[in-house]
Amino acid sequence: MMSTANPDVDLRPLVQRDARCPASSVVSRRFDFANVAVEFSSSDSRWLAQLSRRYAGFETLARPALSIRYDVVAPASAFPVGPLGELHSTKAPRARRLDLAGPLFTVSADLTKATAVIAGPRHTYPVDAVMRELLPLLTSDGLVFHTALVSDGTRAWACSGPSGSGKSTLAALLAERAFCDELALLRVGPHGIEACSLPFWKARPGRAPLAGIHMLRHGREHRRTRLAPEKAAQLLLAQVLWPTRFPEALARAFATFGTIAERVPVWELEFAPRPDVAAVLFAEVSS
Amino acid sequence: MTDNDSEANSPRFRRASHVAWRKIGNETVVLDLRAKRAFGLNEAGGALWHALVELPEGAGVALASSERDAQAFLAELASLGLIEAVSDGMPGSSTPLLAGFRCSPKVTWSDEIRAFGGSVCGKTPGGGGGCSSFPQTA
Repeated sequence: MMSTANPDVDLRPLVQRDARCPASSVVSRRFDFANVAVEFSSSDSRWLAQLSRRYAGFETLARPALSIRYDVVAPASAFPVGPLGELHSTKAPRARRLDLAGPLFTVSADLTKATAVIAGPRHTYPVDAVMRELLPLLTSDGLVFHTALVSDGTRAWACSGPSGSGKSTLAALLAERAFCDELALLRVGPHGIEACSLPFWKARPGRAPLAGIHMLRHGREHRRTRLAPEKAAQLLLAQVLWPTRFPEALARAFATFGTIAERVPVWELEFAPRPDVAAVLFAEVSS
Repeated sequence: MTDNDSEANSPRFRRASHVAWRKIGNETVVLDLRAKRAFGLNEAGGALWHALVELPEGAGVALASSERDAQAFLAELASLGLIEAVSDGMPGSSTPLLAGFRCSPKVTWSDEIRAFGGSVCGKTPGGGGGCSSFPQTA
Protein backbone atom coordinates (compact mmCIF):
# COMPACT_ATOMS: atom_id res chain seq x y z
CA MET A 1 0.00 0.00 0.00
CA MET A 2 1.31 3.43 -0.84
CA SER A 3 1.65 6.45 1.36
CA THR A 4 -1.08 8.98 0.83
CA ALA A 5 1.07 12.09 0.63
CA ASN A 6 4.16 12.93 -1.36
CA PRO A 7 5.75 16.25 -0.37
CA ASP A 8 7.58 16.43 -3.71
CA VAL A 9 4.39 16.48 -5.71
CA ASP A 10 2.70 19.72 -6.54
CA LEU A 11 -0.86 18.93 -7.41
CA ARG A 12 -3.55 21.52 -7.63
CA PRO A 13 -7.03 20.07 -7.88
CA LEU A 14 -8.70 21.03 -11.13
CA VAL A 15 -12.12 21.27 -9.55
CA GLN A 16 -13.42 20.68 -6.07
CA ARG A 17 -13.41 17.13 -4.80
CA ASP A 18 -16.67 15.34 -5.42
CA ALA A 19 -18.47 15.67 -2.10
CA ARG A 20 -20.82 12.77 -2.89
CA CYS A 21 -17.98 10.29 -2.59
CA PRO A 22 -15.97 10.92 0.53
CA ALA A 23 -12.50 9.46 0.72
CA SER A 24 -12.25 5.98 2.16
CA SER A 25 -9.32 3.69 2.81
CA VAL A 26 -6.84 3.30 -0.03
CA VAL A 27 -7.01 0.04 -1.96
CA SER A 28 -4.96 -1.11 -4.92
CA ARG A 29 -4.96 -3.29 -8.04
CA ARG A 30 -2.07 -4.55 -10.15
CA PHE A 31 -2.08 -5.03 -13.89
CA ASP A 32 0.42 -6.48 -16.31
CA PHE A 33 1.70 -4.38 -19.22
CA ALA A 34 3.85 -6.85 -21.19
CA ASN A 35 5.73 -8.13 -18.15
CA VAL A 36 5.76 -4.73 -16.45
CA ALA A 37 3.51 -4.85 -13.40
CA VAL A 38 1.93 -1.54 -12.44
CA GLU A 39 0.05 -1.01 -9.21
CA PHE A 40 -2.77 1.50 -9.03
CA SER A 41 -4.12 2.69 -5.71
CA SER A 42 -6.92 5.06 -4.87
CA SER A 43 -9.19 5.95 -2.02
CA ASP A 44 -12.05 6.09 -4.52
CA SER A 45 -13.51 2.61 -4.79
CA ARG A 46 -15.76 3.55 -7.71
CA TRP A 47 -12.78 4.69 -9.76
CA LEU A 48 -10.87 1.53 -8.90
CA ALA A 49 -13.84 -0.55 -9.98
CA GLN A 50 -13.82 1.30 -13.32
CA LEU A 51 -10.12 0.61 -13.71
CA SER A 52 -10.61 -3.07 -12.92
CA ARG A 53 -13.17 -3.31 -15.72
CA ARG A 54 -10.92 -1.33 -18.06
CA TYR A 55 -7.91 -3.63 -17.62
CA ALA A 56 -9.84 -6.86 -16.93
CA GLY A 57 -7.86 -9.93 -17.92
CA PHE A 58 -4.51 -8.23 -17.28
CA GLU A 59 -4.49 -8.61 -13.48
CA THR A 60 -1.21 -9.76 -11.96
CA LEU A 61 0.34 -10.51 -8.58
CA ALA A 62 3.86 -9.68 -9.76
CA ARG A 63 5.94 -7.14 -7.90
CA PRO A 64 5.15 -3.73 -9.37
CA ALA A 65 7.74 -1.84 -11.38
CA LEU A 66 5.70 1.32 -10.86
CA SER A 67 3.11 2.41 -8.30
CA ILE A 68 0.54 4.98 -9.33
CA ARG A 69 -1.80 6.75 -6.91
CA TYR A 70 -4.95 8.15 -8.46
CA ASP A 71 -6.66 11.07 -6.73
CA VAL A 72 -10.17 11.66 -7.94
CA VAL A 73 -10.56 15.43 -7.98
CA ALA A 74 -13.48 15.79 -10.36
CA PRO A 75 -16.68 13.92 -11.13
CA ALA A 76 -16.95 11.79 -14.25
CA SER A 77 -19.14 14.48 -15.79
CA ALA A 78 -15.99 16.59 -16.18
CA PHE A 79 -15.26 14.59 -19.30
CA PRO A 80 -13.30 16.33 -22.07
CA VAL A 81 -14.60 16.53 -25.59
CA GLY A 82 -12.51 15.60 -28.62
CA PRO A 83 -9.25 13.77 -29.17
CA LEU A 84 -6.88 13.33 -26.30
CA GLY A 85 -3.71 14.61 -27.94
CA GLU A 86 -0.28 14.49 -26.38
CA LEU A 87 0.34 15.58 -22.82
CA HIS A 88 2.21 18.81 -22.15
CA SER A 89 4.87 19.51 -19.55
CA THR A 90 3.88 21.60 -16.56
CA LYS A 91 7.43 21.99 -15.26
CA ALA A 92 10.89 22.21 -16.76
CA PRO A 93 12.25 18.70 -17.42
CA ARG A 94 14.22 17.15 -14.59
CA ALA A 95 16.19 13.94 -14.53
CA ARG A 96 13.88 10.95 -14.30
CA ARG A 97 10.88 13.11 -13.44
CA LEU A 98 7.80 13.93 -15.46
CA ASP A 99 5.26 16.60 -14.66
CA LEU A 100 2.56 16.55 -17.30
CA ALA A 101 -0.98 17.61 -17.88
CA GLY A 102 -3.73 16.42 -20.19
CA PRO A 103 -7.40 17.27 -20.54
CA LEU A 104 -8.65 17.77 -16.97
CA PHE A 105 -5.84 15.84 -15.30
CA THR A 106 -2.24 16.16 -14.13
CA VAL A 107 0.45 13.58 -13.47
CA SER A 108 3.68 13.79 -11.54
CA ALA A 109 6.00 10.81 -11.94
CA ASP A 110 9.31 10.08 -10.25
CA LEU A 111 10.90 7.26 -12.21
CA THR A 112 13.77 6.88 -9.73
CA LYS A 113 11.31 6.15 -6.94
CA ALA A 114 9.02 4.31 -9.39
CA THR A 115 6.01 6.28 -8.22
CA ALA A 116 3.47 8.55 -9.84
CA VAL A 117 0.43 10.51 -8.76
CA ILE A 118 -2.43 11.32 -11.11
CA ALA A 119 -5.14 13.81 -10.22
CA GLY A 120 -8.17 13.74 -12.46
CA PRO A 121 -11.84 12.94 -12.89
CA ARG A 122 -13.46 9.66 -11.99
CA HIS A 123 -12.60 8.11 -15.34
CA THR A 124 -9.90 5.83 -16.69
CA TYR A 125 -8.79 7.87 -19.72
CA PRO A 126 -6.07 9.72 -17.74
CA VAL A 127 -4.49 6.36 -16.88
CA ASP A 128 -4.56 5.29 -20.53
CA ALA A 129 -2.84 8.52 -21.52
CA VAL A 130 -0.25 8.33 -18.75
CA MET A 131 0.56 4.70 -19.49
CA ARG A 132 1.20 5.59 -23.13
CA GLU A 133 3.77 8.11 -21.87
CA LEU A 134 5.35 5.84 -19.27
CA LEU A 135 5.40 2.44 -20.99
CA PRO A 136 8.17 3.40 -23.44
CA LEU A 137 10.26 4.43 -20.43
CA LEU A 138 9.49 1.29 -18.41
CA THR A 139 10.30 -1.14 -21.23
CA SER A 140 13.90 -0.32 -22.10
CA ASP A 141 14.36 -3.53 -24.11
CA GLY A 142 11.33 -3.00 -26.28
CA LEU A 143 9.31 -0.63 -28.38
CA VAL A 144 5.66 0.27 -27.95
CA PHE A 145 4.07 0.09 -31.38
CA HIS A 146 0.76 1.46 -32.59
CA THR A 147 -0.43 -1.87 -33.91
CA ALA A 148 -2.93 -4.66 -33.67
CA LEU A 149 -1.51 -8.07 -32.84
CA VAL A 150 -2.82 -11.34 -34.27
CA SER A 151 -1.51 -14.88 -33.96
CA ASP A 152 -1.84 -18.19 -35.77
CA GLY A 153 -1.29 -19.95 -32.46
CA THR A 154 2.47 -20.19 -32.86
CA ARG A 155 3.68 -16.84 -34.14
CA ALA A 156 2.42 -13.29 -33.96
CA TRP A 157 1.96 -10.67 -36.66
CA ALA A 158 1.86 -6.97 -35.95
CA CYS A 159 -0.70 -5.18 -38.10
CA SER A 160 0.13 -1.50 -37.97
CA GLY A 161 -0.76 1.73 -39.69
CA PRO A 162 -2.18 5.15 -38.98
CA SER A 163 -5.62 5.55 -37.48
CA GLY A 164 -8.25 4.45 -39.96
CA SER A 165 -5.98 1.98 -41.73
CA GLY A 166 -7.90 -1.02 -40.42
CA LYS A 167 -6.27 -2.27 -37.21
CA SER A 168 -9.52 -2.57 -35.26
CA THR A 169 -11.38 -3.88 -38.31
CA LEU A 170 -8.83 -6.62 -38.85
CA ALA A 171 -8.72 -7.58 -35.17
CA ALA A 172 -12.51 -7.81 -35.11
CA LEU A 173 -12.52 -9.97 -38.26
CA LEU A 174 -10.00 -12.34 -36.67
CA ALA A 175 -11.30 -12.07 -33.11
CA GLU A 176 -10.37 -15.65 -32.21
CA ARG A 177 -6.78 -14.92 -33.23
CA ALA A 178 -6.47 -11.31 -32.06
CA PHE A 179 -4.55 -10.22 -28.99
CA CYS A 180 -5.11 -6.46 -29.19
CA ASP A 181 -6.10 -3.78 -31.66
CA GLU A 182 -4.17 -0.62 -30.71
CA LEU A 183 -0.81 -1.04 -28.92
CA ALA A 184 1.69 -3.88 -28.54
CA LEU A 185 5.20 -4.19 -27.21
CA LEU A 186 7.90 -5.60 -29.50
CA ARG A 187 10.78 -6.80 -27.37
CA VAL A 188 14.24 -7.83 -28.57
CA GLY A 189 15.40 -10.91 -26.66
CA PRO A 190 18.14 -13.51 -26.88
CA HIS A 191 15.92 -15.81 -28.94
CA GLY A 192 14.48 -13.26 -31.32
CA ILE A 193 11.81 -10.62 -31.21
CA GLU A 194 8.76 -11.21 -29.07
CA ALA A 195 5.43 -9.47 -29.48
CA CYS A 196 3.30 -8.87 -26.38
CA SER A 197 -0.22 -7.47 -26.29
CA LEU A 198 -1.01 -4.38 -24.27
CA PRO A 199 -4.47 -3.57 -22.89
CA PHE A 200 -5.39 -1.06 -25.60
CA TRP A 201 -8.25 -0.92 -26.65
CA LYS A 202 -9.81 -4.34 -27.07
CA ALA A 203 -7.26 -6.81 -25.82
CA ARG A 204 -6.43 -9.98 -24.00
CA PRO A 205 -3.04 -11.08 -22.70
CA GLY A 206 -0.91 -12.80 -25.29
CA ARG A 207 2.66 -13.11 -26.50
CA ALA A 208 4.42 -14.96 -29.29
CA PRO A 209 7.54 -14.71 -31.46
CA LEU A 210 7.07 -11.97 -34.02
CA ALA A 211 6.88 -13.36 -37.55
CA GLY A 212 6.37 -10.11 -39.41
CA ILE A 213 4.73 -6.72 -39.62
CA HIS A 214 1.93 -5.72 -41.95
CA MET A 215 1.28 -2.07 -42.76
CA LEU A 216 -2.45 -2.02 -43.32
CA ARG A 217 -4.67 -0.25 -45.78
CA HIS A 218 -8.24 -0.87 -46.84
CA GLY A 219 -8.88 -2.24 -50.31
CA ARG A 220 -11.35 -4.20 -52.42
CA GLU A 221 -9.24 -7.35 -52.49
CA HIS A 222 -6.48 -8.82 -50.38
CA ARG A 223 -3.00 -8.03 -51.64
CA ARG A 224 0.29 -8.35 -49.84
CA THR A 225 3.47 -6.64 -51.04
CA ARG A 226 6.88 -6.96 -49.41
CA LEU A 227 8.46 -3.62 -48.55
CA ALA A 228 12.13 -2.78 -48.87
CA PRO A 229 13.70 -2.27 -45.44
CA GLU A 230 14.27 1.45 -45.98
CA LYS A 231 10.65 2.04 -47.02
CA ALA A 232 9.43 -0.08 -44.12
CA ALA A 233 11.58 1.84 -41.66
CA GLN A 234 10.10 5.15 -42.74
CA LEU A 235 6.54 3.85 -42.29
CA LEU A 236 7.29 2.15 -38.99
CA LEU A 237 8.96 5.21 -37.47
CA ALA A 238 5.62 6.99 -37.50
CA GLN A 239 3.91 4.18 -35.56
CA VAL A 240 6.25 4.02 -32.55
CA LEU A 241 5.45 5.61 -29.21
CA TRP A 242 8.81 7.32 -28.74
CA PRO A 243 10.14 8.31 -25.28
CA THR A 244 10.76 11.83 -26.53
CA ARG A 245 11.19 13.52 -23.16
CA PHE A 246 14.50 11.79 -22.31
CA PRO A 247 17.26 11.81 -24.99
CA GLU A 248 19.04 8.76 -23.59
CA ALA A 249 15.81 6.75 -23.62
CA LEU A 250 15.10 7.99 -27.14
CA ALA A 251 18.55 6.88 -28.34
CA ARG A 252 18.03 3.46 -26.75
CA ALA A 253 14.61 3.10 -28.36
CA PHE A 254 16.06 4.08 -31.72
CA ALA A 255 18.71 1.35 -31.43
CA THR A 256 15.95 -1.17 -30.70
CA PHE A 257 13.99 0.18 -33.64
CA GLY A 258 16.97 -0.36 -35.93
CA THR A 259 17.26 -3.98 -34.81
CA ILE A 260 13.58 -4.63 -35.44
CA ALA A 261 13.62 -2.87 -38.81
CA GLU A 262 16.61 -4.95 -39.90
CA ARG A 263 15.36 -8.33 -38.71
CA VAL A 264 11.61 -8.34 -39.20
CA PRO A 265 10.01 -8.66 -42.65
CA VAL A 266 7.47 -5.94 -43.40
CA TRP A 267 4.65 -6.01 -45.95
CA GLU A 268 2.00 -3.65 -47.09
CA LEU A 269 -1.31 -5.49 -46.69
CA GLU A 270 -4.29 -4.18 -48.59
CA PHE A 271 -7.36 -6.04 -47.38
CA ALA A 272 -11.10 -6.26 -47.86
CA PRO A 273 -13.18 -6.69 -44.70
CA ARG A 274 -13.54 -10.48 -45.03
CA PRO A 275 -12.28 -13.20 -42.65
CA ASP A 276 -10.40 -14.96 -45.47
CA VAL A 277 -7.74 -12.26 -45.10
CA ALA A 278 -6.25 -14.69 -42.58
CA ALA A 279 -4.93 -16.86 -45.41
CA VAL A 280 -2.96 -13.93 -46.81
CA LEU A 281 -1.92 -12.55 -43.46
CA PHE A 282 -0.59 -15.84 -42.08
CA ALA A 283 1.10 -16.92 -45.33
CA GLU A 284 4.71 -17.97 -45.23
CA VAL A 285 7.02 -15.10 -44.38
CA SER A 286 9.20 -15.74 -47.43
CA SER A 287 6.45 -14.54 -49.80
CA MET B 1 42.88 27.97 -58.08
CA THR B 2 43.59 24.26 -57.65
CA ASP B 3 41.51 21.66 -55.88
CA ASN B 4 44.08 21.69 -53.11
CA ASP B 5 43.57 25.42 -52.64
CA SER B 6 39.80 25.08 -52.48
CA GLU B 7 40.12 22.15 -50.11
CA ALA B 8 42.18 24.25 -47.75
CA ASN B 9 39.51 26.97 -47.80
CA SER B 10 36.41 24.83 -47.65
CA PRO B 11 34.70 24.27 -44.30
CA ARG B 12 35.22 20.97 -42.55
CA PHE B 13 32.45 19.16 -40.74
CA ARG B 14 31.82 16.55 -38.09
CA ARG B 15 28.62 14.99 -36.85
CA ALA B 16 26.70 16.71 -34.09
CA SER B 17 26.75 15.08 -30.67
CA HIS B 18 22.95 14.88 -30.37
CA VAL B 19 22.31 12.47 -33.22
CA ALA B 20 21.90 8.71 -33.51
CA TRP B 21 21.93 6.84 -36.80
CA ARG B 22 21.39 3.41 -38.28
CA LYS B 23 21.85 1.95 -41.73
CA ILE B 24 18.62 0.22 -42.71
CA GLY B 25 18.52 -1.36 -46.15
CA ASN B 26 19.97 1.09 -48.65
CA GLU B 27 19.26 4.12 -46.52
CA THR B 28 20.75 5.62 -43.40
CA VAL B 29 18.25 6.92 -40.87
CA VAL B 30 19.59 9.75 -38.72
CA LEU B 31 17.70 10.76 -35.60
CA ASP B 32 18.10 14.22 -34.13
CA LEU B 33 17.58 13.52 -30.43
CA ARG B 34 17.18 17.20 -29.64
CA ALA B 35 14.79 18.23 -32.40
CA LYS B 36 12.95 14.88 -32.28
CA ARG B 37 13.14 14.46 -36.01
CA ALA B 38 14.28 11.57 -38.20
CA PHE B 39 15.94 11.94 -41.61
CA GLY B 40 16.41 9.40 -44.36
CA LEU B 41 19.66 9.64 -46.35
CA ASN B 42 19.94 7.86 -49.69
CA GLU B 43 22.76 5.44 -50.37
CA ALA B 44 25.26 8.08 -51.48
CA GLY B 45 24.28 10.34 -48.59
CA GLY B 46 24.68 7.43 -46.22
CA ALA B 47 28.18 6.73 -47.55
CA LEU B 48 29.17 10.31 -46.93
CA TRP B 49 27.55 10.26 -43.51
CA HIS B 50 29.42 7.13 -42.47
CA ALA B 51 32.70 8.59 -43.74
CA LEU B 52 31.97 11.56 -41.55
CA VAL B 53 31.11 9.67 -38.37
CA GLU B 54 34.05 7.31 -38.63
CA LEU B 55 36.56 10.13 -38.40
CA PRO B 56 38.75 10.35 -35.31
CA GLU B 57 37.70 12.77 -32.60
CA GLY B 58 38.40 16.35 -33.65
CA ALA B 59 38.73 15.58 -37.33
CA GLY B 60 36.45 16.84 -40.06
CA VAL B 61 35.66 16.12 -43.67
CA ALA B 62 36.67 18.58 -46.35
CA LEU B 63 35.84 17.98 -49.96
CA ALA B 64 37.48 18.87 -53.21
CA SER B 65 35.68 21.56 -55.14
CA SER B 66 34.79 18.99 -57.80
CA GLU B 67 32.42 17.34 -55.32
CA ARG B 68 29.83 20.06 -55.45
CA ASP B 69 26.94 17.70 -54.79
CA ALA B 70 28.64 16.52 -51.66
CA GLN B 71 29.31 20.06 -50.54
CA ALA B 72 25.69 20.98 -51.03
CA PHE B 73 24.65 17.88 -49.12
CA LEU B 74 26.94 18.71 -46.20
CA ALA B 75 25.62 22.26 -46.20
CA GLU B 76 22.09 20.87 -45.96
CA LEU B 77 23.04 18.55 -43.10
CA ALA B 78 24.66 21.51 -41.34
CA SER B 79 21.54 23.63 -41.81
CA LEU B 80 19.49 20.80 -40.30
CA GLY B 81 21.82 20.70 -37.29
CA LEU B 82 22.98 17.15 -37.94
CA ILE B 83 26.61 18.13 -38.50
CA GLU B 84 28.67 21.11 -37.47
CA ALA B 85 31.70 22.94 -38.82
CA VAL B 86 35.03 22.39 -37.13
CA SER B 87 37.81 24.92 -37.07
CA ASP B 88 40.66 22.77 -35.85
CA GLY B 89 41.78 19.16 -35.85
CA MET B 90 43.14 16.98 -38.59
CA PRO B 91 43.16 18.08 -42.20
CA GLY B 92 40.17 17.12 -44.25
CA SER B 93 40.15 14.45 -46.85
CA SER B 94 40.18 15.20 -50.55
CA THR B 95 39.37 11.60 -51.39
CA PRO B 96 36.47 11.41 -53.83
CA LEU B 97 34.14 9.91 -51.22
CA LEU B 98 31.25 9.48 -53.61
CA ALA B 99 33.00 7.67 -56.42
CA GLY B 100 30.90 4.78 -57.64
CA PHE B 101 27.50 6.26 -56.75
CA ARG B 102 25.26 7.18 -59.64
CA CYS B 103 22.99 9.37 -57.52
CA SER B 104 23.80 12.56 -55.68
CA PRO B 105 23.73 12.41 -51.89
CA LYS B 106 20.33 13.50 -50.65
CA VAL B 107 18.10 13.77 -47.63
CA THR B 108 15.15 11.87 -49.07
CA TRP B 109 12.61 12.31 -46.27
CA SER B 110 12.16 13.59 -42.76
CA ASP B 111 9.53 12.97 -40.11
CA GLU B 112 8.76 14.23 -36.66
CA ILE B 113 9.25 11.73 -33.82
CA ARG B 114 6.24 11.80 -31.51
CA ALA B 115 5.51 10.52 -28.03
CA PHE B 116 2.23 8.97 -29.10
CA GLY B 117 3.43 7.83 -32.50
CA GLY B 118 0.49 7.31 -34.78
CA SER B 119 -1.72 6.74 -31.77
CA VAL B 120 -3.00 10.30 -31.59
CA CYS B 121 -6.30 9.60 -33.17
CA GLY B 122 -9.76 11.06 -33.26
CA LYS B 123 -10.99 8.67 -30.61
CA THR B 124 -12.67 10.24 -27.66
CA PRO B 125 -10.58 9.75 -24.52
CA GLY B 126 -11.63 6.57 -22.82
CA GLY B 127 -13.51 5.47 -25.90
CA GLY B 128 -11.58 2.24 -25.91
CA GLY B 129 -13.83 0.76 -23.28
CA GLY B 130 -12.91 -2.39 -21.46
CA CYS B 131 -10.43 -5.05 -22.37
CA SER B 132 -10.97 -8.80 -22.66
CA SER B 133 -13.20 -8.22 -25.64
CA PHE B 134 -11.42 -10.93 -27.61
CA PRO B 135 -12.04 -14.58 -26.77
CA GLN B 136 -9.83 -15.80 -23.93
CA THR B 137 -9.37 -19.29 -25.34
CA ALA B 138 -7.85 -18.60 -28.75
